[in-house]
Amino acid sequence: MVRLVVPSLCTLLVALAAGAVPARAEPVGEVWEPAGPVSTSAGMTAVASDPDNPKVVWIGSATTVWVSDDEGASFSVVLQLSRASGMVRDTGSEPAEDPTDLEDDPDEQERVEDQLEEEGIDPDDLVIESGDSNDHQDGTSDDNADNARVAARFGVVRMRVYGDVLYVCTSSGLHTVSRSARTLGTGREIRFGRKVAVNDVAVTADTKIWIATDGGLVQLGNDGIGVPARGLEEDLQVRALAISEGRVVAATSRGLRIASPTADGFDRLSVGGREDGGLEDILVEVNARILVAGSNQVSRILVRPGEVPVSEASWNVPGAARLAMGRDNARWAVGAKGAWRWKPDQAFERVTDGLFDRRLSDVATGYGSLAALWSVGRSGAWRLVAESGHAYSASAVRLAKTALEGYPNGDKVLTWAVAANGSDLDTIDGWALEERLAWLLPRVELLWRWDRHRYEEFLLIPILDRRILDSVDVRPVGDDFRIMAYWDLMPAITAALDSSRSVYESSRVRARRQLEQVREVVLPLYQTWASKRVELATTEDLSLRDAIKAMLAIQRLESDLHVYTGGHFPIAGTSPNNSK
Amino acid sequence: MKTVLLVATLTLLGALTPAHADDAKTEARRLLAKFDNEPNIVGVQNAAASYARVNPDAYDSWVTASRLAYLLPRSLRGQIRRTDTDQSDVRTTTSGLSDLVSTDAQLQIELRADWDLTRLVFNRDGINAARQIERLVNQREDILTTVNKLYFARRQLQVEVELEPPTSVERAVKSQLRIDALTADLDALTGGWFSKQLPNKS
Repeated sequence: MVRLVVPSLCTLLVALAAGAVPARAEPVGEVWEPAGPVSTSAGMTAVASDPDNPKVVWIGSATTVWVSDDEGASFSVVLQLSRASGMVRDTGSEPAEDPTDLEDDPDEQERVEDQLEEEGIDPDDLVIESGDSNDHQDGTSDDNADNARVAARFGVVRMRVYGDVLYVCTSSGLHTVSRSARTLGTGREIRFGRKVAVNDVAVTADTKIWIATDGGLVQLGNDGIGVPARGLEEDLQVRALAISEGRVVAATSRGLRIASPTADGFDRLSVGGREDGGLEDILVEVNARILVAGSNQVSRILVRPGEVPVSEASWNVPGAARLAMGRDNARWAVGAKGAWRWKPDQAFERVTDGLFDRRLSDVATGYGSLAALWSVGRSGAWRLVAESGHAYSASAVRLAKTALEGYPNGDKVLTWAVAANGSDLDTIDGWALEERLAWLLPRVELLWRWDRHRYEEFLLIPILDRRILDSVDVRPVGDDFRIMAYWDLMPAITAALDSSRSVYESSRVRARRQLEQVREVVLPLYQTWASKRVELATTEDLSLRDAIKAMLAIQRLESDLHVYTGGHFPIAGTSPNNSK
Repeated sequence: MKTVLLVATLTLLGALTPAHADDAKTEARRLLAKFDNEPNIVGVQNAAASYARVNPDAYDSWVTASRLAYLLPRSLRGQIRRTDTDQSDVRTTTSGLSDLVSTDAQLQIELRADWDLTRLVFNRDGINAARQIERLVNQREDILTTVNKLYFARRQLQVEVELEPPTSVERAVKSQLRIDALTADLDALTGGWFSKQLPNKS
């Protein structure tokens, strides 16, 4: 299939349609395009790429791991984690051939919340305040950084490829999946002792498996029993591992730990001069150098064996939590504040073109010169693609724009979806105001009484031996008509004393959660639809089968958007009037 | 003459080549139009929503209704009381003794009503209605996206059969059974409406 327009043009047009980025005439370099399986309500949490095949990528969410061997064009489920025990479920839904065929699991939010509660995390802590949404987008607020980190650490935390195995680190343990698996069935859980959150795994050249957990560093013995690393503090939260110059290097909640060559002791290094400076990730560079991320910093450290580790450089990178190597020797750092790129002799600069949600939780090294860099976060998976305004002919751009002409843009669709959902924060604020003002109207009682006495007198006429009516007297005695009004001041006093009633707070939390869900479902749906329309309009040499498949996929997406927008989104060729 | 022919051929080729994709799309539209006599997706969605009673028409007025309900009195009490008292009285008149009987009857009608006008501004029924609507909206989305999935899976199968007619009885039966299964699923979601709308093949 030859494409007149590369997918990145679709992305730009889709982003324009969605109102995510401003229109620009200049070339924009590299942009993030939405990719991967359809967004789940909890987002995507981890990503890994295959060192030997740039087309293969694994993406993990709170409960599922997908694999794609065609650069993200289609995904298959390879691991499904069950909620109760973290055991691998060998049977499950059929893997979908197309990302748009994958169903958004309606129960996932419930499962996620249940599991969070089991782990002692309040699900509401993960709800992003709508008022802060811009802060998240701009990366200027620190308020929810901890929440974002909690969210990122839930479910599949990290994935690593060693040999023929994909290691899946989760908040409930360690799992493995065959690297060649394209369907369910190869997933296994590695039990190495007590159940604990696994943050990372590393395999040394001598095939020793090291497991970074919330409760320390564990070396997995051949008998499958985990042995705590010698010389390392107990109950130290180990967040990331790397092998540098044959030695294990661990990023922990209390700084860097570098193992001795025999791994029977660890050197300590506090990065940034703070003993309690927690680190999040490590990236191994050449010449015994490593990059470490944490505490809003990325530092380069020289860790030569037998020498004292030296911090060579440090950069301020807000929210940096994961590191990866990109094309052209670039280094990438992602986190709750977006994606940052470093190139030799440059500082870290934020690269967020096309990224409509900057809360990222992982990034995968793109292997090979053509491999795309992948990142995942609260709004799904993203792929960094080259974008050059000069790559497209004017007719191609016009054709692509025509494909979306007459259709509502992303903002409009989102507005419709929010209205159709019925979760409106303004309405809840209105309730609170109404309750405060309701006492101004009274309780009214109405009484109407009609009371009549009738007196009759009968006189006995002896001669007739009968009584005859002599007089009748009817008199009103107790007629009453009263309207009474009472004002109850107690609600006003209560409302004045208690400005944040729990009923409204819970309603607000629910509404925010609903709105978040609407956004996470509708926007990716809209973007997929727009991208497919543009692709259909700009693709030549299309076979009949492909054309039909594309048209049906577009119609289905339109039908879903029609549902989510309460019937506002148009479906090509149908209207409520001609619906049979 | 040869030059003219060459130019004409090139022009013809130039005209035909870019039209290839459009041809496929036109053919695809023509093929999909074969199913225009079947209910479209909006119709199926409406039928499913009506059958599951999750149509917005059913719940749009709930919040307003919950407020207007308080225009009626919170309580309305009425009573009718009637008492009869017979009395005998003997009076002496100038004309002599007479027997006088008087009766005393009382009829009392009372009506009491009270309104809590604060509820016209704010009442908890509105909040409950809003929560119930929220649940129904979620149910509606679940049902209708399932309908979409089934509908287009069925259409995909129908198109496959059109594109590549089965060459054996076994394959034909298998294809038809898969289509029928999806038809039955759609029937289940629309209360049998879907099948009734399908053109009679016999």
